[in-house]
Amino acid sequence: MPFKRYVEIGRVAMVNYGPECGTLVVISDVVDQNRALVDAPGFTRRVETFKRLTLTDFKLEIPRLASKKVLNEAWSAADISAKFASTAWGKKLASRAAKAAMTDFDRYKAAVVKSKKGRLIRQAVNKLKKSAK
Amino acid sequence: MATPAQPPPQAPQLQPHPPPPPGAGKFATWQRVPQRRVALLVAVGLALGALPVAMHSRQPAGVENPYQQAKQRTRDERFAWYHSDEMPSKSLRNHVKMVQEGIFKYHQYQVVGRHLPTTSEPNPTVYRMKVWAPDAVCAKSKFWYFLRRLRRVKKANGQIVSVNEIFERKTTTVKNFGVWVRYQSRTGYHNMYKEYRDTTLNGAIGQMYGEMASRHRVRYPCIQVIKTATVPAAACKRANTLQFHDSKIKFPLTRRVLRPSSKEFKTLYKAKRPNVAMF
Repeated sequence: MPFKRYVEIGRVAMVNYGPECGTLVVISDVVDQNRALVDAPGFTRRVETFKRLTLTDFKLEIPRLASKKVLNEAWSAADISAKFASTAWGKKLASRAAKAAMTDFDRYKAAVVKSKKGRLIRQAVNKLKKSAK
Repeated sequence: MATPAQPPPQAPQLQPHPPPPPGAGKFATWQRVPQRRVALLVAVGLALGALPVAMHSRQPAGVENPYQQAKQRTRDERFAWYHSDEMPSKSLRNHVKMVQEGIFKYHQYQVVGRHLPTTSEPNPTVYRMKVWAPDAVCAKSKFWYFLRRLRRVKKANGQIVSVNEIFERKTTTVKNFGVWVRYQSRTGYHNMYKEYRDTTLNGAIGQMYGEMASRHRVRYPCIQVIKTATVPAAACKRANTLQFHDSKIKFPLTRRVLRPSSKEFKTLYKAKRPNVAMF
């Protein structure tokens, strides 16, 4: 199986370590075999090692060392944030974040809904069992 | 040992200096020295003639010490930046401080010093040197190490005029740095030219010290940085630099290792087998 995601200029990646963990960035230049310059809207361009980046399927058509203006335009034109959120990976992250943000009452409500759901299923199954006899 | 703080009794009192020649005073006060094309150059003493610098230790009252000024200005400027609206949170601020300024092991310092004034030479030549050192104290030591090899000035008969850290401009672009090095191996002295790609010269110098230690087992005290330069892409020599001069560069990451998002989540054993697909 060939590689599908490459390090290239314009490749969108996710930071997977440190305070910016979970932010989407775009590679604007390759420093060496271990590091790249990464940039994003509202972000100061800086060096990040590939160990701390996870590549995504998305790629922006931007030149090397694109200015903030060009980057912002390309970013919003490609609608990267929304596109990423609609992927399975993005949904998983969103659901994880939603679960982490739940309050005690939210968890209680979820437990109540779960038990109600179980009861309905049980009733339906028992009904089927009876009719099958 | 006569230190600058306690001059020998026969040393003449400092006379008020003549007004500075235009341009000469620019090394006397704190400033950000820009890293233009060819940065210099350890071991280049720059004679600045009559430099109107108050003596570091026995300066008269009312004359501001440029070294103190430098420290003050730097701290204030940094403070203003860290606490500006650009920095949303404290942790991010600290992180940005780290990545922007760099957690460099070696910082670049500009050290200015001269021979102590004597009756025969009341206005000794002032020498300026740029050195890489872990801190200002080590920078001064490196300065004396080089100066006593180059001129008849040593710590015992000289004084430090100022020590300033040099900060770099444009740390958001990648440059090719050429570093000319002279080092002492177990058998003799060798010269070397090395090329590094980095955003800062301090980063390139850090790479150089790391590489010298690993490949040649040469540590900091045995290495003399002769010259550094920002090398344009067309003038680069090393294959490892040249291969990144490609705006259509494309390569896969072939070894992905599952890492926790923070150190606190590090575990030796995992309940779930990691996905090690490389694609």
